[in-house]
Amino acid sequence: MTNLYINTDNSPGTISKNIYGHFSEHLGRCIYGGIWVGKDSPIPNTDGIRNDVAEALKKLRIPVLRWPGGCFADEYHWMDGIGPYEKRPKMINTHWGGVVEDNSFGTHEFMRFCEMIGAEPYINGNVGSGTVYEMQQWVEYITFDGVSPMSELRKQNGRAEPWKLKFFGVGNENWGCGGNMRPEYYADVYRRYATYVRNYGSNKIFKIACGPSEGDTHWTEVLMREACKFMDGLSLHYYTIPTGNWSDKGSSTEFDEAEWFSTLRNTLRMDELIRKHSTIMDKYDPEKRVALIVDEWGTWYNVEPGTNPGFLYQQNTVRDALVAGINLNIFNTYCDRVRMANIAQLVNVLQSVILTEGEKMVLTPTYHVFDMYKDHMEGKLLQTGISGTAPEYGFNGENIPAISVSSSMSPDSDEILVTLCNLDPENSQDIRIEIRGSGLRQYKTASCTVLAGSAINAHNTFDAPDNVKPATLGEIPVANGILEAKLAPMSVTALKIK
Amino acid sequence: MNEPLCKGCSASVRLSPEEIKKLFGETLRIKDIKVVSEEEYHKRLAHCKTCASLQYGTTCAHCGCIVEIRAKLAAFHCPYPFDPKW
Repeated sequence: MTNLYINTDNSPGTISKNIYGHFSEHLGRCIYGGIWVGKDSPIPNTDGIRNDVAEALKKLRIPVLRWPGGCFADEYHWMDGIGPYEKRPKMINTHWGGVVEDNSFGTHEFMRFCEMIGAEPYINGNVGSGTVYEMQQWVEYITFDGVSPMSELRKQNGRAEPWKLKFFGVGNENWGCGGNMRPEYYADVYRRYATYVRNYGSNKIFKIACGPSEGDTHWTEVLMREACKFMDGLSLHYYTIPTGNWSDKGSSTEFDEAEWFSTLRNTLRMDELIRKHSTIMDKYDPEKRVALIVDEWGTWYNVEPGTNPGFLYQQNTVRDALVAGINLNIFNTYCDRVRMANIAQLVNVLQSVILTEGEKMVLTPTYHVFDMYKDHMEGKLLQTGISGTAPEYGFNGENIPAISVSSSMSPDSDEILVTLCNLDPENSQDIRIEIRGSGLRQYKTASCTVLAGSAINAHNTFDAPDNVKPATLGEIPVANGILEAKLAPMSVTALKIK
Repeated sequence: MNEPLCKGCSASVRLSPEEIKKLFGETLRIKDIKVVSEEEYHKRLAHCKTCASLQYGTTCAHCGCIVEIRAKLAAFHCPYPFDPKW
């Protein structure tokens, strides 16, 4: 039996809803086919956007959506994507293998999609191949409420009212595909570009600087030292690769326990990365004004056999559910610094919540995890831990924690949501949770929802879309603030204590 | 310290016949995979090669599959929305 405690008197902070954000790039079939099918498509759509995908995403209450990249952002010229469709130029998206981009999904279409699913837009601007003027004009086009060339152009294109735009990224991966810059150079470039990302009227923009890749603490150090006061957020990108080898990352569905273990071990590294970068950020920003924005994370495998390698299409198993659950628990735990995260990517690319094929759509195990965790959004993080020896999952002489957990109290009531992952694919975990705190009301019951797989590679297909889905296991009694439960092997569990 | 990885350079959508042949071999090595007859294969491919949804001469826009591979697999069908061609 593992003893967990939840201390309701001690809250390290509020879990920003934006931790449950997503990312959509012009890559493979994410935008084209996954979101946008065009107004003339036989697939039911609203203004060219798939109804089935929009409806499913709306249920997740996605708080924020990043677009248009990724690497694509630093090659995207936004003016190509406005105005009559027939006049929009076609371009070659060289960042993603020479794809022809016809620009039919541009600023208006993205903002419409955000409206449909209820998400805040997070636009990533072009630093690598764009100008300061171009970036300034894009913000003016979207947000300026008055007479100006850009607001007039927006009106000509059918939108009189400005949009609200809260989040803006100044470049993407500028240490790599976004210009191959050194941090010393990018810090100055960031300061210059960010100066012209202006607040018009009541619109206030949260400016996000390109942050480090994985463990590059030098980048964080330089950016925080040279540009801290000019930014609101600093990004971090870290992908989970089973083999650790970029040229043969491992299969999404054909793997053994060794790769199950290495995947979960590698994803747990997110905790260490956040701690390392946060320590540097604390040095320059002890008040934690600047947020760490993990705006690309998730699994990255070899593409599905028979699919185009440039499309980055991969399946999604119960292993991905564990990766999602573990990372979201980590982000919750560091909510004092991590205030946005965007899993890569929304549809049909990398660790997607939705896969499509023609008119068909399937929800992945990762979708269900986001659904099970969504009530953490804006919740009060509760100090949660294990008393005594924490159980471990060992394989081949190596050990990792067997349980990942976080808990929060609802902002609207005193209900507590506890989300737990059992990383062990063979053994269940018996747990006892003690809710501690002064002036506690009597908790009486906990509802239990479990996502588990029949095999380590269990997944949903277009022919069997409900192979992996959450099951509601009924109510668990709570007596004197204590409840007991059993975590199934390789499972994600959500307990809602009432 | 190693140079950071640039993920954008990971793969191209444009494939040579040699690359397709290699991918074909890798797909057919999947255990228990069933393939269609040569006659059925060429019938299927003929539809794909004239389809408006074929991208880069190799890839179906509706599923992202390389049509020369998908058409060979018995369990698969044409993903054209509401109007499969095979």
